[in-house]
Amino acid sequence: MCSRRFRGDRVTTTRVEPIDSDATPEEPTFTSRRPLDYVPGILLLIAVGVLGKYAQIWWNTLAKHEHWRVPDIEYVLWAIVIGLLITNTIGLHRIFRPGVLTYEFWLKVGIVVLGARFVLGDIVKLGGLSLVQILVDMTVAGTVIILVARAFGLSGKLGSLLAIGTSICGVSAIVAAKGAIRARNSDVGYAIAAILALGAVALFVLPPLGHAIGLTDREFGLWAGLAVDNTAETTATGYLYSDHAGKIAVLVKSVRNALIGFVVLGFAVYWAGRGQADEIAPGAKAKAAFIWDKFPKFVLGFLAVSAIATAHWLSKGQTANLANVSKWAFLLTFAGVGLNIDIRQIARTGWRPLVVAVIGLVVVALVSLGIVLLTSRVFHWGVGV
Amino acid sequence: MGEEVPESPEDVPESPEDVPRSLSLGERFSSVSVDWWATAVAGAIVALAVANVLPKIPW
Repeated sequence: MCSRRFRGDRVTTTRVEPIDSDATPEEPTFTSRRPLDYVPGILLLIAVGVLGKYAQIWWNTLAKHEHWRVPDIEYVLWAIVIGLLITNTIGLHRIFRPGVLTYEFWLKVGIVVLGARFVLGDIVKLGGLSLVQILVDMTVAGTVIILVARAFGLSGKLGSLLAIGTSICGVSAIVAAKGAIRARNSDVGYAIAAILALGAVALFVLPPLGHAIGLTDREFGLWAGLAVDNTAETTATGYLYSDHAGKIAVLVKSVRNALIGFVVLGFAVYWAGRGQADEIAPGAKAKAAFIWDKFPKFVLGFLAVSAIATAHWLSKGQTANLANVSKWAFLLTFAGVGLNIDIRQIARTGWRPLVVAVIGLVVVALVSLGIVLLTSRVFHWGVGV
Repeated sequence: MGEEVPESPEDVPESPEDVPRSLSLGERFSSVSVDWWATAVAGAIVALAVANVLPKIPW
């Protein structure tokens, strides 16, 4: 899954270590062994999330009272913007950091519980459809990004990392690939900077574009699931459009996440073949173990909960209850996304990753939008799902 | 000669570094990945819902 945390304190969504530092990204969602350390940050996530939720209500009430003709600003955007303002004005005190970093945990809890809103048949249909789209998107966008990276004089491995991060799952895919292809820390830093900048931009750009193009909720959900790289931003982007779009985006992104192992294995074999990475142990068993190691296990939880819903073990009332649990978990995630966007840090990462990020975003967004429109409006694949 | 030879491997004194250290509770918890933690917590919530004892969650 798409985690983006780094060693030490400076560990965030769009907070990136200096490019040439030796810091290596790793995956501690839980940064302390003392449960009490998490309390302030989790309370902050709840406060920002609830404030975002009520900001939507207050904004709408005010607009109605004053007879303003203004767009309905979703609680998702309010929570992200409030979090972003806190981090980029008064700053985030380190006492809040362990709790704030748990937003990936809440994201995964929300996704697993969201399984109750899907029957397995729909997952198979939509998952199968999105798998085809993902494979095409991955191939086209990945190839273009490798070529662009080469044109910018970036190393072959940096190009591979960018392609992996863009086509699959952002930072966690890059982290998963780092050891497998023996990439340099500086390349990893560049790739992460590019992917994170790309995710932050997509979050704010895609929903208005989707409305301008006139995409349906389903089409936008597919688009967000295919185009946005980090799962937290994918979920936020989808829910910014509508609840239904958010659901679809989460499902498509989960399929992408499930492919991490295969893609990383492919690149590892390629670089090992050129003598620039460790050989993968021979045999299907070793390769299966490699894929399982990289597999995001929470996807299994999502499928298990969906199986429970499919077996009708949940009453209508409890299904609605679980949907609300999922929304609360996502609300904490959105607050965490905002609290982790550090604009100054993005600016400090240098122009090259940002340029590659922008090109990557445009390429991925265009390719995936083309695929979505082609499959839904020309081929009418899975339109009823 | 003069040295006592241990009669069995069990008699060999082990240095502190050789003794396998059992994991503390904190270490056991932190060795579980966030994916599994999220699945376990969500699974517990879903189990309450299946048992129809999950209280009403407002939105």
